[in-house]
Amino acid sequence: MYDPVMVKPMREEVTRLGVEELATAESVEQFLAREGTQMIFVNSVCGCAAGAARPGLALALDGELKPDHMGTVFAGNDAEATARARESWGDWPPSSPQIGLLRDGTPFAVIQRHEIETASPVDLANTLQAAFKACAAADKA
Amino acid sequence: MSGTGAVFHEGHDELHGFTVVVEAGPVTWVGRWDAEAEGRIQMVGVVRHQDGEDGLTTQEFIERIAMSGFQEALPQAVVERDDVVRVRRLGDVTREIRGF
Repeated sequence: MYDPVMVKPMREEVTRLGVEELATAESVEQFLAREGTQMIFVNSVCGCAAGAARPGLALALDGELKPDHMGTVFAGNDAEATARARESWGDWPPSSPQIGLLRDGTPFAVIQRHEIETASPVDLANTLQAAFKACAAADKA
Repeated sequence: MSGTGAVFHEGHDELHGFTVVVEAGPVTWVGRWDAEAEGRIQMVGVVRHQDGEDGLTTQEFIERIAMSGFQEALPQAVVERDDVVRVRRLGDVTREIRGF
């Protein structure tokens, strides 16, 4: 577990975007029970990939579409919450950071670390916006 | 190779820290690039695939991993540089397949 004081700014970089902190497995459970499109951002201390993931998320959430519900767990600190979030997207293997998109608790897409680490924040924002659109369109189908 | 052109950690290889696909003849290695020294590529958090294994060609295996990620099977691996045909960042492969 990382020093909570050290990770606080990394958490706040996400929660100040209006993304709800899900610190327990129960809070993830309740989040997944909500109707509509859902995003869970698996935050992490990794400066390499998460350093681009958080600004990319911020740019994406400034865009045209947002998921109906947005939550975040912190890998390495909120172990049970992170495990429950990853369990919700089934066969996609774990990575940190990671961004899961779901509809009514059913997995739709997962953006993995390997996609994040090679992307600039703008690239990642574009990928997320495209994924939000696809998820919303599938929601209406 | 496209991307940000950034180096993750000062003083390391350009690929250090990136998840890469290393094709070495019929064997493909996917994992985090650590370093290259004395003709050997060192990788961590690795999965290995032999062409045809699990009913998948090398191309099918790479496409599957690019779109869904992978579960680490080996903590580390060393690949002889002379055996390597191609090295790509996995994220670039994903973007190439998906188109964005």
